[in-house]
Amino acid sequence: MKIKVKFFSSHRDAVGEKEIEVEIKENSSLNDLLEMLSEKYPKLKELKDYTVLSLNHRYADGNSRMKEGDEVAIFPPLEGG
Amino acid sequence: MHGNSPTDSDSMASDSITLTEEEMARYSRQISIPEFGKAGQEKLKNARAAVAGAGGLGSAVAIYLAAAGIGYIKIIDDDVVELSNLNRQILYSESDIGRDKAHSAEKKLRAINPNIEIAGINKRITEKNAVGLLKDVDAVVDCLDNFETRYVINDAAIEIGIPLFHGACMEMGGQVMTVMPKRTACLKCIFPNPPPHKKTPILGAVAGTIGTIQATEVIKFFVGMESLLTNKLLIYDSRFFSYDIIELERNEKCPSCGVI
Repeated sequence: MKIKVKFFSSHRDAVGEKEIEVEIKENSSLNDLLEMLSEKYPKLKELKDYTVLSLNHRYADGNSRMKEGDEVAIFPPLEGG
Repeated sequence: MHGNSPTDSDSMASDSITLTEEEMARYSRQISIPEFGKAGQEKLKNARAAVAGAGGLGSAVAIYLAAAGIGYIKIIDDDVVELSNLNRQILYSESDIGRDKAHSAEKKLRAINPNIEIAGINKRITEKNAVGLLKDVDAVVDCLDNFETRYVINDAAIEIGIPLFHGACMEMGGQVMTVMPKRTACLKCIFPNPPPHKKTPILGAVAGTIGTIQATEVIKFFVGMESLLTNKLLIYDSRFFSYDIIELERNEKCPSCGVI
């Protein structure tokens, strides 16, 4: 199935893209997606501890399952003030 | 309507605050906003807010809260003004370099609006003093530059039962969320792990964008307007001029506000 993944801030820098389309097997979880993306973009691994996820514009944990056409966002907490 | 809204709080309704002729003129352009009116302006005059951090976000937040006529503003920071602050910290001028931010800010804000009470507090917020510093205000605005202290004011706001208006920025973007303690997601629900602390690059105008969104939230809250960024994380990226809103919910197991 195809899903859309958006990256923000340090995660966008790690991937070098603002948005990508990913082919992933049916019923995969967000953790599966992160693992797959970390293979392709190793810098994502360094950000793992403070990676925040959303699925279809809703905050989600890594166990959430995706379906065809879903939109995932991957981003960090921002710190500066 | 939010349960924590000052419109239904006894402490806010008990004082009968009236506006002077000068104040009616000063705030006339916002009093004429349909949701405001004279009653809305009186609520602002009776409102008490703390601005935690007087940097890039805190500058924009404090200036707009003062200009809008928030009756009492406590601005808390223990830093001194440095040259490298001046690209974004619009509360300060070159003549403030080397002076403490809290009192420089107090002076500037008083010049903007002499009708309101301003307290510059030259202290670092810690676990020990946070509740004491925040218990005499109705809202706290998170303009800090580190998560360690953010978690401290998050917990203090939950303990006291006042809303927290979170903002943060980095480089060309930022994020905003509003927390109604024990009713909507708190900082710890959403960001259980902080990023590693470092000096963050920030464009001043972007800190201003995020700070003005926070100030708008605070004013809307005090006036009693709905549709705040509660259970919502707004992510702004000026590189692409994108605004994304992520829907949030409380984590029942949250170490700060959870019920389990």
